[in-house]
Amino acid sequence: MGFRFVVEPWTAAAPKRRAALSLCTALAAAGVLGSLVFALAGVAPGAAWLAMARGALGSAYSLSEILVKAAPLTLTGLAVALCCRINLWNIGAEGQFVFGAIASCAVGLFAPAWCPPHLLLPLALAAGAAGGAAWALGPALLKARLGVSEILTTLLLNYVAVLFMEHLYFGPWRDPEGMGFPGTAELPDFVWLPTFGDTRMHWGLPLALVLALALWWLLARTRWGFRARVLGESPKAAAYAGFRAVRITVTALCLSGALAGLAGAGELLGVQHHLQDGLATGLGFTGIIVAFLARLNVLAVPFAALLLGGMLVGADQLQTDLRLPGTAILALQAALLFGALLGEFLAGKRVRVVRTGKREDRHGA
Amino acid sequence: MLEKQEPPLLSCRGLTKRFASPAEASGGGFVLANAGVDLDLRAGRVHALLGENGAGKSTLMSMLSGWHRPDAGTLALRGAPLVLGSPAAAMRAGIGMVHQRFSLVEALTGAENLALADGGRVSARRTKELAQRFGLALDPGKRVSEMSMGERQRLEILKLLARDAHILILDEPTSVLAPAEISGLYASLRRLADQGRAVVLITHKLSEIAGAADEVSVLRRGRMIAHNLPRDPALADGWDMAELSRLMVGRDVPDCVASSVPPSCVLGAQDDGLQGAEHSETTLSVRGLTAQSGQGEPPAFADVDFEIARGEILAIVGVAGNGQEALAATLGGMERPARGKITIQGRPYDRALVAYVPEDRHGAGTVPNLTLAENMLLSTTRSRGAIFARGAGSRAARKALEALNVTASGVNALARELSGGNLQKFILARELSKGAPLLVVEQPTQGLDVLAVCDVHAAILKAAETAAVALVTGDPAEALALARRVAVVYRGRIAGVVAAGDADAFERISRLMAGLAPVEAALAEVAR
Amino acid sequence: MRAPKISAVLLSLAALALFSLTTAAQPAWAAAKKTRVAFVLLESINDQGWTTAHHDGIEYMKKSLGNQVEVSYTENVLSPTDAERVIRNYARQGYDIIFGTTFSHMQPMYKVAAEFPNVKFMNCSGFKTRPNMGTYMVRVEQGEYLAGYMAGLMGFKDVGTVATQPIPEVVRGINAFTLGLERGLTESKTKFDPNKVNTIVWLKSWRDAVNETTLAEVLVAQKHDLIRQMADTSDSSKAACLKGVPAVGYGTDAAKYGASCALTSTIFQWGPVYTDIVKQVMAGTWKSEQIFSGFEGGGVGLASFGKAVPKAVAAKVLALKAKMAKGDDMSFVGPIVDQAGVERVKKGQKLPDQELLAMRWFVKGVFGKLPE
Repeated sequence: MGFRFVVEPWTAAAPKRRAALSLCTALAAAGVLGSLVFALAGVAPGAAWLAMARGALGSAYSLSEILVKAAPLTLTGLAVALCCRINLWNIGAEGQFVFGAIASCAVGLFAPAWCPPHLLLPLALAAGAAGGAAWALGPALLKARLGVSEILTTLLLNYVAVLFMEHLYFGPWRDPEGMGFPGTAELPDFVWLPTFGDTRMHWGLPLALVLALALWWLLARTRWGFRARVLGESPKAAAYAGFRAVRITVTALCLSGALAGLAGAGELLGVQHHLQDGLATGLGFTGIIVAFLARLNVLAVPFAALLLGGMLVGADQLQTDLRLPGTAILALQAALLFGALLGEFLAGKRVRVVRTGKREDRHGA
Repeated sequence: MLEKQEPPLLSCRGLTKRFASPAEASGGGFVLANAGVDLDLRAGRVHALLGENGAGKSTLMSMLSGWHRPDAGTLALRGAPLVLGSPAAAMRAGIGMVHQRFSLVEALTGAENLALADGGRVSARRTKELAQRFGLALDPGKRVSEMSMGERQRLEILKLLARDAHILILDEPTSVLAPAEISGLYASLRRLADQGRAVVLITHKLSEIAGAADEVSVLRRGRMIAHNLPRDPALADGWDMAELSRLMVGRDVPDCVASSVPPSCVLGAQDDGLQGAEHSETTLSVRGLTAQSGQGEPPAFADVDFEIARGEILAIVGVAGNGQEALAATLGGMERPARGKITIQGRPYDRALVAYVPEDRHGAGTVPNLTLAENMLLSTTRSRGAIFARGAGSRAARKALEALNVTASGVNALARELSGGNLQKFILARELSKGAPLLVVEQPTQGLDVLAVCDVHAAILKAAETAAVALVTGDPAEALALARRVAVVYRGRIAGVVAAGDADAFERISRLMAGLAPVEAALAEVAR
Repeated sequence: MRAPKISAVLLSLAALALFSLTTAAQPAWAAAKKTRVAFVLLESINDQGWTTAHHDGIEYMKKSLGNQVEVSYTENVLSPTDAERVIRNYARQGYDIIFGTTFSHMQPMYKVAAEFPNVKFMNCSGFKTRPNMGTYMVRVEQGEYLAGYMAGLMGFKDVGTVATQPIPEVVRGINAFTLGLERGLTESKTKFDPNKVNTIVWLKSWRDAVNETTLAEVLVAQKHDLIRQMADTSDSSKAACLKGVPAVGYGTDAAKYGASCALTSTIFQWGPVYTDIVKQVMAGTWKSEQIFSGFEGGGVGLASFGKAVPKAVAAKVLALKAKMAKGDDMSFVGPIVDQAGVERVKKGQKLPDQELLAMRWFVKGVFGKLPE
């Protein structure tokens, strides 16, 4: 009776053409869903897209702000993409981000006086990476040794990390001069990541780009990367080849945690300079979306981060110019991401309409 | 066997189905899943459709149940032509299928699932009445998630009966059942047939048909080798099981043996004189090998002993599911045994000494989305050094492609772009390039075309000149074509070892595979 | 149906190209004569708590100033990183005054304020100031003192409080409520345990519907006779109502959000505060200061009393409220003794603002500790 849609895998197209196709369908689907949200919120989609474009690309300042957003998103996106390539789901980039920030903050706040100041920034960054990696180590070991789902453990540790951070800045690390308000004291400026000109763009972005390249090299050119890719594509083949899945799993999750931790360190040392409320607002979770928009391709991650950063910055304008409610902005973000993922999914498939009954064609497909 | 010829409930003539081969999508390759299949299903009969994995049983049945449209051939329902465009159309024609994987909503109760299937109202009473009428014990209020596999199966059957199905097709229905549930299923099927329905039982297990079927048809490589064989009341099992097994796996020696192929292939099985002394050096020795077992399950194989000498091919055959898969994986180093000893050239087991061609070419033997150069390094990569030797991989892959004449666009082709035959040759070439003393090949020619079968066989025979070869296969003909000795695995144990040169070797292997040979005789062989 | 959407996508892609080449300056005529006011809001205006209260204040201000002002706001600015961008955007667009409505907007605002000396900035509940940046806060503790007083007059002597985060503002509120409670109990001649009239449990969050409910239920199970809500969402009050125990709401009128058993609620009234500040800007009299608005300035209020509150009690409370509105703030007047029994404020003296702002100790009668 009527029709049904059959979704079939479509493997005929060459990989490169498929990637281009998938980008187009992703953008188109996001555009369609986004327009739908605008229409539902009662604004003309055309005007809304224009306002967003103006908000994101309208000035050198807004462009620089996109880059500010893109730096942590690139790193958390890389963190998630790396794990997904090995069929691991690191939902804990948020927690690792927080722990990275905590670790680098500790360096900034408590470095002994004899420590040469110019060493402190690299040290703080390294501490950030180590903090993130440490936060991922538990789930990694549980996964590798006992088969406990890393989805659950990394997710739950997010909340633990945030609570721990709150404990620190509400309690022992609270700024003694902060009138009892939550938050640490401002970090000394020699651990700040230098910024470019009078913008807020900081060295976290070039660092993230270098790391994207390094990660690509690691996966494509090293023996470890090769083993990790084999494990990700086919655990059976990895077992066949005798690769040690446990070791690869642990290393990959810790490396992923280090990237997310570095994102947290960058946000702290480059932008906020305090451990405070609002440090953990989902940059780790957004990394999941970045990774999937980039189709898990680490070299595409920075571009996906830019796209998402542009979207977030551009959305400011929708509130101020078009008076769209904040909730509509959240719905828009969800619609855009859902659309992008849907488009990405459909790019690899072919949708056919199949007649299931003998009724006449009502469905002008 | 002439009887009153009322038209069969359903009859198929010349059904043919081709599928585009995914490995060769760009080249337009096709796999012939069914070729000119004839079949009659009569009311009141339980019909067993026999065939090995991949013989085309499921394709045939999905054409009967409307999931696929035949490329050629006709269907007739009670003599009237029938065209099925969809499963719904098949259901309207009274044909229903219970798939191996049930399509039930676990969170719902039996009655709710039933209502979902036939669009009726949820009613425990109606469900109970239906169940009683057809003699299928079922608690309508129980959630599917709490049901045993047998209950779920009965619910699936009831879903078809509720929609008035006259032809019931069950795909491998016993594979999910505990032994105690199987006889209950058979009794139900018998009752349903006696009520005037046609029941089709798809299976690859010979032992199952003796107690259940009225008729047997055998599919092999997409063709109907024998159809509608009636039960012979003179035989205890109803059929000559050895004969059925032969029909199922094929008595024909692979075609290449008779055609223009390398000389070694024509020679066929290693003959005793060729490799010199019986007591040449033992390369592989297996003692008391027992697989690890899950909770409550027996190990896949137990207490396996055998030896293979350098220059010898030992075939290990068995019907799928009898433990030879796990044995091959253990020999290949993918699984660890629970106990027992494997010695290679007198040294304890070391996977560096083993070349292994696994059954799963696309999943284990290669990684489909990696290039051939990368796949080359899968089992030959050295463990030292951080940078992985892409250049070396490319060179070695190029050599491998040349060695066995693999057709591929180059070493940067993705493994999934290769046809099954070429991929298998590539894997074989890679494994041979290791020069290991032991070669384990598992189902090396399953699903390959004739030419590839020949190349693969030739390569195995060539390898056997310098190494010990364990050939694990489900095809006794292949075993006899290559090996000197054939060990038959039945229910996890070596049921017997047959010398390939013996005149009745094929008969004995077939019997052993079906579990029909006396165990004592087999033990005597092993003790040799 | 599909075509227009696709064209919208194409259009927007074209727009991307177009607008990367041009800079969109805000047209000057848009600002003609009107005072432009911007608000940076923490969450959605529908959060039924903190941000809803600020939004009510914005609407109040718009109503009272009419078309002399042009108002814009941005919701869901949780991260200081985003706050800095949003605040700077408003400053670049030439807004006359920008309000940050939460403490975590203070640091970014402090930074941006230095870059835009001609724009005025006001931050809610912070402490950092510049010549062009002040702070504002309401003296909720005055309302809390009266709410406690009302509860004391009604004889509630074992209150359970679902407290939020251990910062001075919250500590202040707990203390004021307790002092009022003790005064009420004394006046109504109810016997009470001087060390335990108000038991504190910590939510460790500003809002958390599930835990607010759980903690309230725990307090009810421990036989506390009144639940004091301190999250700006009403879940703990609602939980108390369901268990048959009265409650006192916080931030907005809890009865309006489903807690029918609420005796009253201490409410933020940002409207008068915003109106006053914007008026100063319009008149050119604005100067950087730290504003604390109590009953006298209309910054706090008490929601109308519930049915369970006796007329006599209500009258007494309203009388005290009238006194406070005239400037007689008795919420922290000595003698005040802390939990350890040390006298912190001498008889007749008032606790100075600087100490109120940094308060991190509990008065006697509070049962529970400040988490470290």
